[in-house]
Amino acid sequence: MIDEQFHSPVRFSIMASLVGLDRAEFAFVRDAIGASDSTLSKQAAALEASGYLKITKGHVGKRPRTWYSLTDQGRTAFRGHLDSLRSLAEAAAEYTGQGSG
Amino acid sequence: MEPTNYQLALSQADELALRGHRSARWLARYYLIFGVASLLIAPAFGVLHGLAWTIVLTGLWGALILGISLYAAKQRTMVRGGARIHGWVMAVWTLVWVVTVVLGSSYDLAWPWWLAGGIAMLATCFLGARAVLRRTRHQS
Repeated sequence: MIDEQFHSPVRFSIMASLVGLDRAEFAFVRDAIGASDSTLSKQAAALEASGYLKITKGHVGKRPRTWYSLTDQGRTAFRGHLDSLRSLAEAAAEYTGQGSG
Repeated sequence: MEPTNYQLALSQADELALRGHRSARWLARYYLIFGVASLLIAPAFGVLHGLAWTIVLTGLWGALILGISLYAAKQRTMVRGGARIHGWVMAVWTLVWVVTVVLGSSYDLAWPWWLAGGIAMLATCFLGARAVLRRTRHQS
């Protein structure tokens, strides 16, 4: 099912970068999606508020670290969203004649 | 949204998932290093006797554990199910290590016993690495 939460390209990218992982560090997600620190923080907070993302703060040695992980609800919603996009892409391709060869 | 936009979004998701999978393969490398080191150190403990060798081997093992622990602490991702895989690998490895050392020392067993123990530890780590690589194999 298409989820409006993922209409934002940044939120979509955050979810895509985490879907195959247990967790990823803030810097990894930021570098992967090419967002600024503040944009990532803001969009991650929005996903957390929706119950799709868990944010864990801790330390490695003396350095503070922030970890992101998808909740079961978020993983299910994002996979459903991707399935819907695939269906729409196929349907649209057929409609425009691109899928008929 | 145009068909090309759907495809673009799916391609982007695929690309980001691939990046995550590649990054998470560090755990397989960790197991390979740990397994090969186990294969070397277990027979060494069985063959090289005396206080001096015990100190040297324990020091080498400690340095290895410190090194791979620092390597693990620097990583930025964890494969899906990584905690469970790690728990199993470490539990089985510890069991094999204890059985190898306790029986090998108690009955003063010769080097083939210790080598077999080392191979069992390496096999355990290989299984862990295989599990990580299976979970990070990318499917579009």
